[in-house]
Amino acid sequence: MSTRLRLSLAVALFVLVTVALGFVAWWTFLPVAFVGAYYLAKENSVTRSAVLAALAPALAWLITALVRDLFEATRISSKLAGLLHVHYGFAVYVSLAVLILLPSAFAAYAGAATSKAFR
Amino acid sequence: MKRWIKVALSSVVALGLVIALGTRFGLTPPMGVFLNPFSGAWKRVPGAFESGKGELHAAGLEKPVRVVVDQDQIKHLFASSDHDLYFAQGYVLASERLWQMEFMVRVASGRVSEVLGEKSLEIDTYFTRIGLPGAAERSAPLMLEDPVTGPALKAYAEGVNAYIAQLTPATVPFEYKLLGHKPITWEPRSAAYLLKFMAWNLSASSSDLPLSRSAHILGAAGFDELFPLDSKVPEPIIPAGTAQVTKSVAPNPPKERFEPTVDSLEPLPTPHPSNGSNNWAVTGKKSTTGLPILSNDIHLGLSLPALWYEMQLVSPTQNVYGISLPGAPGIILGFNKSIAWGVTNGGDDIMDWFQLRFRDEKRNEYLFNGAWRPVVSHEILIKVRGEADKPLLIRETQFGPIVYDKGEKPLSTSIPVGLALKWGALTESNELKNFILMNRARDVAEFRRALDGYQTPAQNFLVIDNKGQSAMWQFGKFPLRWKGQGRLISDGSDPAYDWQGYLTPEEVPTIKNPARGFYSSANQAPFDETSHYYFGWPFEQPWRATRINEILRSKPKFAPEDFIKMQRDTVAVSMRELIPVLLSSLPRTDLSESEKSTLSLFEKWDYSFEADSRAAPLAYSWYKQTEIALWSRLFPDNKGYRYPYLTKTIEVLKDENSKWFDDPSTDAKETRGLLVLTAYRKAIEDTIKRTGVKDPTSWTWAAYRPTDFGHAGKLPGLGHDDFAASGMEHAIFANTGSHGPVWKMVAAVGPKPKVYGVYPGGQSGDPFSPHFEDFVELWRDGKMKQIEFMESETDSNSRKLGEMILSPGTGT
Repeated sequence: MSTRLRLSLAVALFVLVTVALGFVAWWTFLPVAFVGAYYLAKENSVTRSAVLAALAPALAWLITALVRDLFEATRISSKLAGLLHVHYGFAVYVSLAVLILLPSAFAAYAGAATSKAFR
Repeated sequence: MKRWIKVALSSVVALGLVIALGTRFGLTPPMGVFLNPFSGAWKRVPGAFESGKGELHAAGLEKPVRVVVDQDQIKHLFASSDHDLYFAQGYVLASERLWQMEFMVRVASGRVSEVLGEKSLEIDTYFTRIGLPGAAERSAPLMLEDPVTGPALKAYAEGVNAYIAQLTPATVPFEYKLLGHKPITWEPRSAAYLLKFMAWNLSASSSDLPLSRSAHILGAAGFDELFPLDSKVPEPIIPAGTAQVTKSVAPNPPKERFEPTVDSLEPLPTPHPSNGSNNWAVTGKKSTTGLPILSNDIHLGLSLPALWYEMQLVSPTQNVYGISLPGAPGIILGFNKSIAWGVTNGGDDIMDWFQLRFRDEKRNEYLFNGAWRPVVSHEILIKVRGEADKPLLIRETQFGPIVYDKGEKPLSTSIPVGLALKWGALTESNELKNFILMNRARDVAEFRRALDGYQTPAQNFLVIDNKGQSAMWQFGKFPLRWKGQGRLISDGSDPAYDWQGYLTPEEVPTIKNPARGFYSSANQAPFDETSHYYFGWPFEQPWRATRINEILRSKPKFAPEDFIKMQRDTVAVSMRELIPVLLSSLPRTDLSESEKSTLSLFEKWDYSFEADSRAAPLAYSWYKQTEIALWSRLFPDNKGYRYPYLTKTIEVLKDENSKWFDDPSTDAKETRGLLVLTAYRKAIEDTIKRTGVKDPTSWTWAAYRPTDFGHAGKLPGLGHDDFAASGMEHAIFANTGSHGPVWKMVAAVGPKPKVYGVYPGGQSGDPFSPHFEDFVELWRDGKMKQIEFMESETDSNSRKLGEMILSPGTGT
């Protein structure tokens, strides 16, 4: 099995498990990203490990929200988007992207860098 | 070393983002927490009773309460005691409307700033200064010590708090997540604030200042001509000749007319002028059922969540169905097996403003009846989120509070300097008792006894029973007044302007089983211009009352379905009287071809304000522009003047030689034709601008005036705007776009009541719930649903979704 395939499976598994179990708190994916990147960095570069490890919790987050919203026939998303847009304008969408990607990306980067530092 | 710098930097940034996204900045929620799919805004918590299946537990209940849930999420509560009934009512309402309940209490008690911050300080100051919290606090002991309301309030609060105790951060209502706020413990006294808030909504619409301004401009003769106290009342609530008790003697007026100082005065914020209602009923002889039939639609602000919550309450002492006020036990309007009742606002003047003569610049003493009296002051603290508590000085006179005083920064639409407010709603009272006793009344006589002690806001109570009886009372606590007393700002130094007693309960406007076979009220004057007592000025103009009465006179018998259709009627009698006058006054030769062709919109118009009407927007705009053209040179805009009644405007327009057309400040002679033409052209411009359409054949009333349901907590984005609905304030379907019928009911009494009802909203207070605005489209279409009244636990319910049990205990 190639490294790329193993990584893809790991990411998919992580997303499924996370979605199935649910987050306890919004920030709990950060240590996951850290640990994930730590191990990925054994066979990959720091940047690659960080991106892959950060994508998994971010995807988990998005899929969970999406699944939840599908059950509600997008009522929540449309209301929420309307509400946020009225209050904060377009800046809110940039904030959301930052929210979803950046913290896990930095945590993952720290994990990958730590892994390399010990080598 | 370089490797460790990377670790340290990325760790610090990650940590910093975690902290930042978990922190609230002002009213902006912590976005990480807020958007968490598992506990944030994305997690919609289904209503506790939404599924209609299962068992819930609540500590404090004595025995299980059975809850039948129907497909509209209407709950039918069956309890074995009144304690359990009101406990369950509190629990259910908390599960559906907790944020709304708390927010309404915060508004009425001047405590919004505590959660929304300094931007709400002005509104908190206003409600605190007019004395609403004080009046509620004085009323609360009366309510809590009363054997009827005390136990009900306590049980209701227990129910609310039992629900709150079961909430977690993930399951609190959305608004709490948004604002980062936790539900407060519900106090039994909270209902006192809600009742006083409703009294403000329905009795604080004072015209004293705008009328005083108009009087100041016109002088005594001009004012009396344009604002005649004896203006004709074509359709009074109580028909002329109806016997009334008139024992009390009205006080004598002062010898001299008081001229208030109005230059520095600005209008106070007041409730919306369209807060009104319709009710009517036919007696058995005009009814297809042989028994009375009642109709009621009450007009208040359109909001989501809706003001009311629909439910049925059953215990050994009662079986009542109707709308409850979230936060207060019992049913406010509705029916039971024997009776049905409805209300309209009385609109009587119970709010006077007194101009004080202070002794000196300290403004601590004022003159009354030749002697100096002290202004009593004390300070309170208003809690403001994120800031230190703000001190607020309260200053009281014998009349009531000085709402704002010299040197204070006024609200945007604020205050006469140094005026004292006297307002009937500030007296301690217990109207909740009246409503709870109405719920249990078995006939008209018991209903009348339930009204004993009712004070504010004065309402036209209409009741019918299944024995064939019916009656209407305009009930409230009415000051005995000389004719015209309190119409303008009053002289605070002259005792003749103060209130000198009240009408006795037997003297309130009353009508029973009328010979004409029907009752009606639409906020107009209770009696015609020959009234024995003076109840205030102005009342609502006769448009809705005229339309209701002409329909009720149009045929011999009415069925409930006829009343449903009547409530949907959008004909504006005002336009039926005004537009022909404008058309006959319009100088056609001065019109362009397109202006002439636009007039064709009126050719087949029936004066109805349907959403798709093309003539309605032009008619409405022409009416408004005519008023502005005629009166704005006398009463400049935005200065808080009052224009004459539209009835008076039409009277002036009918007289081509009226002196009011000419503007004395110009050399030219302004004529009626010129004024009407100017107004017509401006109306066309205005209609194009508002509808966004140039072609008159594509104009629609709904585009000119869309209907908006704002969020009750004023949170933008959570309501439902730009809704295409029919109606107009002068029509029976009095939808103004922001105000309108917030509860519509048609009730036929009989062996089993046959009742229809609807309100614009939904049972859930959660903006994300599928039941947030269930009934809005039904309301828009003028339809009503037939109400499933269950006579007993075993009675059928064709719309039943399921049954739940609310049991004693601490399980979930």
